Amino acid sequence: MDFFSRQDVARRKTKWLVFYFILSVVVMILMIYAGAIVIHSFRNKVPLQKWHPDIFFAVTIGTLLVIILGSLYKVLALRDGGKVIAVMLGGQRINPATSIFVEQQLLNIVEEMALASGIPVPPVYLMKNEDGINAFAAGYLFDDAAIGVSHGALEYLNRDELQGIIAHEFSHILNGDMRLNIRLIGLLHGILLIAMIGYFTLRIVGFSSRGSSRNKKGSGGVIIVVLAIAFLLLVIGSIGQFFARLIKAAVSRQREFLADASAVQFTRNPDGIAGALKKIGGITQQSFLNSPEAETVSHMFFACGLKKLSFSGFATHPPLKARIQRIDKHFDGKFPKLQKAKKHSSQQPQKSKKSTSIPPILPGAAALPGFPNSIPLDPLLVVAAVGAPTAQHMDYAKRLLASLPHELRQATHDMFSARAVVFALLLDTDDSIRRAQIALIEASEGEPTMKETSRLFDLVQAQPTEYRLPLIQMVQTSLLSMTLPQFEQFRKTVNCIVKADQQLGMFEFVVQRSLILQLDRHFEKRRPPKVNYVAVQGIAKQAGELLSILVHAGHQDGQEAQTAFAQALSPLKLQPTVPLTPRKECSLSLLKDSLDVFVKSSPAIKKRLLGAAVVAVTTDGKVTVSEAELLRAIADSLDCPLPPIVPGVTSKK
Amino acid sequence: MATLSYGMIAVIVIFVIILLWGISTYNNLILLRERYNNGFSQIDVQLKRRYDLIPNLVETAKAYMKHENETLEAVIAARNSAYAAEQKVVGDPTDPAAMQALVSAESQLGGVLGRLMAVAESYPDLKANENMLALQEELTSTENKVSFARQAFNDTVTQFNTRREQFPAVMIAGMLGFKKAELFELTNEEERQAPAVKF
Repeated sequence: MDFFSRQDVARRKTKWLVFYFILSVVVMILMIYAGAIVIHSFRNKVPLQKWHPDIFFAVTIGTLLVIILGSLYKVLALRDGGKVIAVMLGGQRINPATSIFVEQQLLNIVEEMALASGIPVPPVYLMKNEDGINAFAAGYLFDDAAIGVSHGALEYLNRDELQGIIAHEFSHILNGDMRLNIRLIGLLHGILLIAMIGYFTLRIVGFSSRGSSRNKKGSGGVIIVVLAIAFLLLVIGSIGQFFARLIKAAVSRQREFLADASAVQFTRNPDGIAGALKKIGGITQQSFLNSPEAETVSHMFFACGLKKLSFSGFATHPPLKARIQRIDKHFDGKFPKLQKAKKHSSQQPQKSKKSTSIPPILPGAAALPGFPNSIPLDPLLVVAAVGAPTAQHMDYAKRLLASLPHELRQATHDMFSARAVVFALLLDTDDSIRRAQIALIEASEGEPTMKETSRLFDLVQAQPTEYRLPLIQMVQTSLLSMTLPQFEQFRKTVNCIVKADQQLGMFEFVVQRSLILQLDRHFEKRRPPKVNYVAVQGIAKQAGELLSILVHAGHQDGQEAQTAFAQALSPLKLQPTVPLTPRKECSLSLLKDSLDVFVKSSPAIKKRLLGAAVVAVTTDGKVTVSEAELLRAIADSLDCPLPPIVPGVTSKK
Repeated sequence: MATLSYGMIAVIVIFVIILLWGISTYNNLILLRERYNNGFSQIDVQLKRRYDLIPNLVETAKAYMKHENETLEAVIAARNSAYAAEQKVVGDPTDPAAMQALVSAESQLGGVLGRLMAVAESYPDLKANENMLALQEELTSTENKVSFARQAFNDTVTQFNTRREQFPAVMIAGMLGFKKAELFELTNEEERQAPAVKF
C-alpha cells in the first residue's frame, strides 16, 4: 500500500466514522425522547403514550442543534493546525536556536526526518509539565503539522529511542492520520457537550433551588422537571460518550501498529522504538499525561495517555507488550526498572554542545561524493517513496545536514537570518541584477537585513545547488515565528527580488510555489482545496501541458522531446491522446495554471500524474537539479511529500 | 408541554452558545499568550548570546584601556543586572513587573555599552584588534536579531492585549487570570544608537 492508497483509506475511514457518529446521534435522540415522554406522563399524570409529535420534534431539534454547534465549534477551532492542540496541552514551542543540549538533539532529529520525507520542518513543542514518556503529531496537512514531546521523553530516552518515537509520529503525519484525528475530536465534542449541559444545569439549578426552597409552590414542579431533564441529558450524554470513546479507540488502535512498523522501516533501527516502549513500561509515570485535555486527544499520542481505563475497549493504543513483541520477537514482557536519568543536568549542555551542534564540515562543493549535476534514478521508486521515505533517504538527509556549514545552518534557525537565507538564495549570479536586488532588499527590509543577506550569499554560493531545496524546507519553521506584518513585508520583498531579473526562473518558481504558498496558508488560514476531478479525462489538456513543460525542461532535441512525451503520456491512458505543446508556448505561468487544476484532483489521479511527471524527466536516464526542483514544486502543489531524489537508488527487480 | 419544551430548547441553545463562547475566548487567549511567549523566547536566545559576548568584549578591551576601569566595570555591572532581570522574565514571561525591570536594565546596558564604544574610539590599537572587530561584528548582528524579534514580540503582545480588552472578552479575561502583557520597548535614545556604533 502506498501513500496514495493510504490517503484514500484515511478518507474512507472518515466516512465510516461519520456513519457511526450519525448512528449514535440517532440512538441518543431516541433515548432522550423516551426519557422525555416518561417525564411528561409522570408530571401531567396521564397514561404513557408512545407518540408525541411536539416532544419528538423539540427533542430532535434541540439535540441536533447542540451536537452540531459543539462539533462545528471544535472542528473550526482545530482547523488552525497542530499548534492549537500543542498549546491546548500545555506545550511550549522549542526555539530552533535553543542552547539546551537535549532540545537541540530533538530538533536535529525532527529536521533530519523532515528533510528525508520532503516536508517542511514542523515546529516542535515541549510539554514541560508532563513527566511521562509520550509524544504526538497534530495538524491538518503536512505544512501545518506540529510535533509535541513530553518532558519525560527528553529526560529518559537516548537519541535512538527519541528517533524511534519521532519516526512513529512522522508516519502518522504522512499517512494522513492527523486530519482524521482532528475530525474525530470535533465530532465527539458535540456528544460530550450534551453530557456537559446536563451536568452544569444540574449544578446550577440544584444549587440555586436549594437557596430558594421557600419560593412559591408553583416553581417547584418546574424545577423538578428541569432537574429530571438535566439528569436525563447527563446520563444519555455519558452513554453517548461511552460509545464515542469506543469508536475513537477502535479507529486509533489499528493505526498504531502501522505507525510502529513504518517507524522501523524508516529508521532501519527496531531497537530505537522498542527501547522507547520498554522504557515507558519501566517508569511509574509510564506514558500518562497530567493535562486535563488529555482525554479529548488521547488517540493522537505515541502511547496511552490515560491512567484510568475502566476496560480495554477504551484503550486508544494496543498494550505495550503486544506492540513491543511485534517489533522485538524475543521480548519477555519484563520491563526494565528505570531511575530518572540525569541527562540534562546543568553542566552537560556546554560540554556536549560543541560535539553535536558543530557538525564536521566536509570540504565545500564535493561534500556529497558522487553527487553530479544529474542523477540517474528509477521512476517507479520515486513514486513509491512519496509519503514513505526509506532509510536511504534518512542517510541522505543526515549527510546533507552534516555537510552544511555550521554558520548557514545556524542562520536557518533564527527568523531574522532565515529571511536573509531566502533572499540570498534568490539573488542572481549576474552582478548588475544582483546589485539591483540588494538595493531593493535594503530599501524594503533595512540595512541590517541587506548586510546579512550579502554575508549569507557568499556562503550559499559555495554550496552545491542540491542544497537549495533542503534550505527552503529548513527556514520555514523559523519563518513561522514572524508576525503577520513582518510576513507581508517579507512576501513583498521576495516578489520584488523575483521580478528584478525580468523573468521567472525555475528555482524562483519553486520558492513561490512551495515556501510562499505554505506560509500563506499559515498566516492567512487559507484552506486546502476540495477534490473536484476524479477522472483524468477531465483534465487531459492540462496534463498534456504539464508534461510538455517537463519534457522541454530536460530535452533540447525536438525528436527526443516527442518520444519522452509519448512515454510519459502512456501511463495516463488518455483517449484520444493530447499533443505536445510547442516549446515556445511553455511558460511557468502555463505551469501554474495547470497545477491549480491538479490540486483539485483525487489522490489516484495525483499518483498517476506524478508518475507521468517522473517518467517525463527520467526518460533520458538523468535528472538535473532544476528538473528535481521542478518535480518538487509539482509534488508540493499536489500536497504529496516527495522525498529528496537520492543518487544511486536503483530498482531491485 | 410543547411550550415548555420549546422554551427548554431555547434555554439550552443559549446556554450552549454562552458556554462555547467562553471556551473559545479562553482558548483564543491561551493561544495568543503562547504566541507572545514564543516571541519572547526568540528574544531570549539572542539576549543570552549578547550577555555571553559582553564579558569577552570587556576582557579584550581591558588590555588596551588601562585608565577606563570605571567604564568597564559599569558595563559588567549593567550586564549582570540585565542578566538577572532576564532570568526573572524567563521564569514567567507574563509577569509585567519582571518585564518592566528587564526593559529598564536593558536600556541601561545599552547606554553604558554605547559609552564604552565611544571611549574605545580614542584607542587606535584596540580599534585595530581583530578579536575586538569580530566581537563587535557579532554584537551588532545579535542586536539586529534582537530588534527584529522585539518587533515581532511587541506585535504579538499588542494583539494579545487588544483581544483581552475587547468587549465581551474583557468580562472574563481577568477572571481567568489573564494579566495585561508588557511591551519590550527600549525608549532610551542612547540605547537605540548602541548597535549603530561602528569602527
